[in-house]
Amino acid sequence: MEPRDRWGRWSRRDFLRGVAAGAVGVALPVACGRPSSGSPPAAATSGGATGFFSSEEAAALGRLADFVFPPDSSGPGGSALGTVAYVEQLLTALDGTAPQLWRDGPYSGRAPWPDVHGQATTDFPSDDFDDFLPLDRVHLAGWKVRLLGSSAVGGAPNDAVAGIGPVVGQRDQMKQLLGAALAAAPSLASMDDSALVQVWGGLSAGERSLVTAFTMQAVFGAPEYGGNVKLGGWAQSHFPGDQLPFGYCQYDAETGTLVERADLPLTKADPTPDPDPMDSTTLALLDSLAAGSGGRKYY
Amino acid sequence: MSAPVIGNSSLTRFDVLIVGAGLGASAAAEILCAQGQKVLLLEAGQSLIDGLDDPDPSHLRSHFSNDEVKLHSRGLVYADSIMEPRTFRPSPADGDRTYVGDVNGLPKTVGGGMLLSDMKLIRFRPTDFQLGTLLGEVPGASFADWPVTYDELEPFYLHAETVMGVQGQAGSDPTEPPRSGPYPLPPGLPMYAAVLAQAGAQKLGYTAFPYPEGIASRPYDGRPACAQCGFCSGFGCPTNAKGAPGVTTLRHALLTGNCQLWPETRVIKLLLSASGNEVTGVQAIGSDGSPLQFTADRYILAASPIEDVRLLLLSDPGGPGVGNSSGLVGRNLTFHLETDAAGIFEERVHAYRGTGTSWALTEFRGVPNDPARPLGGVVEIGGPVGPVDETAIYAGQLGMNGARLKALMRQSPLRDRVLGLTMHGEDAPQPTNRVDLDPAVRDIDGLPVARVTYQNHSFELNARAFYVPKLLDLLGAAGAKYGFVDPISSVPSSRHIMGTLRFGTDPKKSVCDATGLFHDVGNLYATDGALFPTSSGFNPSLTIGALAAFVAGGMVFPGSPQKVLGASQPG
Repeated sequence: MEPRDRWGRWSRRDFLRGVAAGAVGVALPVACGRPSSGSPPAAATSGGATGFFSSEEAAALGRLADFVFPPDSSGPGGSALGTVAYVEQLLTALDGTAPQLWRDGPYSGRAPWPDVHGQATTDFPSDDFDDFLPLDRVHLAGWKVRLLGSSAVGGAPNDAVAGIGPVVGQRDQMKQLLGAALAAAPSLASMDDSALVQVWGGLSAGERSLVTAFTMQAVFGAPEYGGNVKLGGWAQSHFPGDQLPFGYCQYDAETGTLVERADLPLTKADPTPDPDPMDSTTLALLDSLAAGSGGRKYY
Repeated sequence: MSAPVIGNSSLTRFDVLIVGAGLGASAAAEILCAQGQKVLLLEAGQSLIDGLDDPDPSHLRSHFSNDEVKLHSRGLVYADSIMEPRTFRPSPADGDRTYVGDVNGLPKTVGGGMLLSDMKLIRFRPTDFQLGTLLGEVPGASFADWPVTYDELEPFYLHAETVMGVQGQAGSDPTEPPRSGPYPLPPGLPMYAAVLAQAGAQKLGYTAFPYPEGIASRPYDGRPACAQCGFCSGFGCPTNAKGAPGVTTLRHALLTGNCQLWPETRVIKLLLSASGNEVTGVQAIGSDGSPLQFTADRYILAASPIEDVRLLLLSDPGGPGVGNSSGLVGRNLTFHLETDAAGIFEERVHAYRGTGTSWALTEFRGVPNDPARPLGGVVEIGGPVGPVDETAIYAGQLGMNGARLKALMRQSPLRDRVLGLTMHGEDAPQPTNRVDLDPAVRDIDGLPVARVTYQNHSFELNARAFYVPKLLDLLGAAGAKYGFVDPISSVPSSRHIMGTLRFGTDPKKSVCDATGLFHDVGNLYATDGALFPTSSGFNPSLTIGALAAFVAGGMVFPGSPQKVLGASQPG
């Protein structure tokens, strides 16, 4: 009865999550955990930015992040994209005088203000993401338990209920899994993928899920959280990132009309060729999902 | 540190106390305050928009942002799943619970769950208010007529549309009910995926039309036009282009000077008179954890159909619950049976740009008692959002990693190439689908949490089975290469929550009367979706807003609620 929050909130907009879940047992064309074609990264030589992880732990986590999301010719992997910094920031978010969990808004300063005609200006808002929002009493208590564990905070409400508690904090989970991985493979940080498969397989499903979820949040989240270095995650997924206040459609105050962008149009196809068309392996995966879930392949 | 009070902090005596500050609460407050009633709102969640009580709309400042980590990975504004979990079981035969965590979690914040919706504000149809009569006996179900008609609610629909600034195109929906005025705003631009879907629908003889949405397509009521940033459904609006309750109904109430709002204040008990038929006050826990007590002449429950029931049960420990002589408090809980279909195109249709949902179909709503057209629901035409959510499918569900995961993120079959269709199917009310208190699981304050017991009826399952092939046909006609339909979630996750305090004329068959007043408690009302006897097949929000205004109107002018209309319109 694990809460469904490791991968974030379920949203009705997350189409196909259920299809994918239902099709896990289907014979997929690609084995999970297959070694990547990338070269093993250079091992990190120092601890994480906050010092929460030792240099060995930071290097091990960086290597696991690259196993999940490897560097290759298209761009950097999970390590270079800041997974260690992201995880350290999260796990130490309550160490200071104010919680550092939720970045403020509304704007990151990456996109410009529009002019009265709905065209981009050279004027950018300040980066509100630099600041953090306060947590209310309930969320603060919840995050203390989530990060530090029941025992560190005098117990959580349902520690005595079978199947629920006590909660092992994510700090301890990460320390324990990295410790166990390093004990099994002291040279983890310099292992190539084919050797790392065994280490990865030695982690529990929950531990693999935790490392993977953190890596994905780091690579594809807003860079202010410590990852997505130089927006490299968004670039590799061809995602423009947060676009406000300019957005994809602006109001021309003079004509009273709506104006969409030429480079990233709203109502029509992109003007540029597809940068990464679906390859045969992806199509085979979709074939498999369609066959295994009662879906359709139209052509 | 206590969270600051919002609104007129000098008020010390209140005509009406409202539990909650979401749509049902704020739509009632907007009417009541405009009529000079002094209103106190107590909201458990934080306030994340500054300047709600500032007359200058340029001072509105949202703390929401286009940030998947904050909203989805780290749960901003959602109930904390450790400190405020809910529990679920399909039926009592499954034991005390089968799941603990997020069950039908609505965002908990000033302005309510709608802050994170994409503001689809569509009207119910006249027959939706008469399904008890039209359908007759449906074994295992408890369909009932509403004690109000569409015609009685119509002026309140128009009022709600006006206050929240709904964009739409009158006459474009082939099943559109009568309306007494135009939409206040024209439709915005559609997303490309919706354009493709519209063409597909046309091939099959369906009519896709601009979805009525409370999103400003032009500057409105001091708020800017929407920039279609894409972070819409599941995200708060950074620009306040969404006409969510915080910046519309609630703000209007606050600006009257007759309203006071306490955020981060959890009401934990209704205090009752010795006879038990009058509320005399409420106990609450403040933002700093201190105990508080408030009083007013009349009280409104609008904290969501699940939390309303929890409060009624917590207020009568060991008993049946406040207002429960009918035995129906918590029962007839309905959602919508959401059927999610996704088309994957070879080309990138970039549905992550836009308002989340551009257009709709109503042909799948069906007709009562017509076996050739069972009662399904409106179909939303939209798409998915950001890459962090996308990874949850590849890495979380499919277990992908390494080079294959990276290739999938580059090629993005499940984000950049997805057209999504969602049908909100009518959910047959059943007395056995209910909310009560979990016998063991507690919240941060040691109070029992809400437990949802729920399973689908063949009524909606059969309708879903009927329309799934048609949804897949539509995706194919739109040009998709693949079409999928998500299985039904094993744990209820719908944000469309209705029933539990159904209103009606018979005290033995309903909890509240036709005016929203509890049959058993002379000064206690409900103004949220809890009142709904049936779920319809349309997004409930506009009807919640209209019904809340209707109930509030009746509180001011008994028997003539429409007299309140005309006040507090956007300037």
